[in-house]
Amino acid sequence: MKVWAPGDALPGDETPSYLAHQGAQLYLVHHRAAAKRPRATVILAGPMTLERAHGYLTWVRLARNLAVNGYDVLRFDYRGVGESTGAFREQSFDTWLADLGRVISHAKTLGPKRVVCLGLRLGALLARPYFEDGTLDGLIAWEPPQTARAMMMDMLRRKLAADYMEFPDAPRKVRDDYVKDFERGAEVEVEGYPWTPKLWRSADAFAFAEPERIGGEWLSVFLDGRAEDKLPAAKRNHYGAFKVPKPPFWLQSTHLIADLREPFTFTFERLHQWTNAWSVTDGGDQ
Amino acid sequence: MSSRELDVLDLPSGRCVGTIHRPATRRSDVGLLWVNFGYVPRDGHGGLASQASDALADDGVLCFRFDLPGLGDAPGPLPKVTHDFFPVVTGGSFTAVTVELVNRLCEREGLSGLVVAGLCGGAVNAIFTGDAQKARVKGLLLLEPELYVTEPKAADGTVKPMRLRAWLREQLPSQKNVATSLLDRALSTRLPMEESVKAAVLRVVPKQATNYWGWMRLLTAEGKYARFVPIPRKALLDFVMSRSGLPDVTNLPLAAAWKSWLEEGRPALVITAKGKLRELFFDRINAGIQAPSTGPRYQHVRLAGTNHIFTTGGAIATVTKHIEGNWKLFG
Repeated sequence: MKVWAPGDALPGDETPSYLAHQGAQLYLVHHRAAAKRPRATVILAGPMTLERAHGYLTWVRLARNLAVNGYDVLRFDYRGVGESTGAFREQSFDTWLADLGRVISHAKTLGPKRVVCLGLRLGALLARPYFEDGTLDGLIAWEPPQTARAMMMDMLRRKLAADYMEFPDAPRKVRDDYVKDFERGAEVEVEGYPWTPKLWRSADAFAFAEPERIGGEWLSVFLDGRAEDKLPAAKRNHYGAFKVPKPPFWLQSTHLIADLREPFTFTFERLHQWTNAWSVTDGGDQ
Repeated sequence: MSSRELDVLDLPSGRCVGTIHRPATRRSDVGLLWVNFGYVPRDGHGGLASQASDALADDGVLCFRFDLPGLGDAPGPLPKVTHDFFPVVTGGSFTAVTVELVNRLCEREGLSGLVVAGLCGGAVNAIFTGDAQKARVKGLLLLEPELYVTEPKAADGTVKPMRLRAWLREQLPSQKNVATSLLDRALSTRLPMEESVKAAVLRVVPKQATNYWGWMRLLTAEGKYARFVPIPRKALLDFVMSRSGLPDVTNLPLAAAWKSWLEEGRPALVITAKGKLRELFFDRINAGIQAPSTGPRYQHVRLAGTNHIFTTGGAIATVTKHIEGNWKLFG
């Protein structure tokens, strides 16, 4: 396995562009593989809002490490966040699901036949339906939340902590107070983004259960360092657990770029196995 | 209605990747350039730079947001640890590339100049860039400027936090009388068994309890334990503020560049989180360097009820409005 580090020459061309999508511009960066024939296209579906900002350097490095090892990589921003256009207030889990769908369609127009999605947190939640319906050939879920609501509650916990700090004299709140705000139709500002009742409601339909699809390749990687006995006993080879430095790279970390050697090596080896097998079934036509 | 374009520029100091917010009709020959807020990508925390650029472009101002080498989408070397990144910024390592960027954009787009903007480390970079390219930098937009260096490293590379003893000594007036001399002497004197007592104390008291920056964060409600501090926070802060000397941690080259900018009557809009750490030091260092911060082309907005990165209290919309409302400073 080759390793790319900041300061090294880029493994291949990197092209930022906009993808037209439902009246908006989806920001897309195409990292071309450092190989004549890429093994597959890997779509990186990132985390939500401020988690994107904090994890960005690590995320870009991950893309370049995949590219240097022979994969075409597409990174993108969901509408209303980062470089994609669209008002955040108009977005929901459904619009972000559609964004990923648009990127997958685009990936299928590129050279490699096989398309895999590596999703981190929100990205894992959004990628699962496309794996289940056979749109994706492979799914790699990094730190998938059990449900979108659980993920949002986790982010609301961070908001509570921030509010305690900023407004020490304000009346104490609990997360359920914010939930009540959503239920009565009010917006709540979370880490600089205006969460709407629509966003909150849309989360209800998104959960990360073990994939049920027959065929296709999938992998769940937990980054909280949980013990082996906490992983599901059945289909054990579909799971991995590693410890990344705390706070994790999608929060405000002490490291600019997280050391992801272990989860990356694990993911990369599995991805290589899949693409080797696909190479045989596809008659060497990758 | 404005539109967005993407831009990749290969400059002598490295590749920059950016976004242009192009107005339908340009109404100013001065544009706005955002540089990275610390290490986050070019849209800024909560998309602040992106939203402000959309708004200004709709007002007819050509806006740019660029990732500098190593940051966001732009390739380049980077230290591994966040702590090692701060000296890179506070030492002015991004100045050369930002000046190249300003020059290239002005030449290509036919602009007379640019206002350079950033938050925290971005503001530091903006000041250095303004000082280095006065002809083309027409103004500074500084969000939470950090005019000091945080916990400088010792020669062996280890972090050497400023301890309480050094901080107390710093508070002594320059005109010492007998009492303060005694206090100074007491602070300097090694007491018998001091090291063993200190070691014993450190075993039961967390290291942070004697850390200057830890205390400053507590006093300015930026530390996670700030709400538990049972002391008159405001009174202590006022005491610290009342000292006229420059703090030991002042970034002197940066403060000098800032002073020179103001002395020449150049325009600047500063927005700080009211009562927070950066504002506290900004005021104190401004007083220390006797910066003439009252001119007609200078505006300092203090936003209450928000944090250092403006992600609480609806600050992003408020900051955007202040930038739009004060753009005439740069016109």
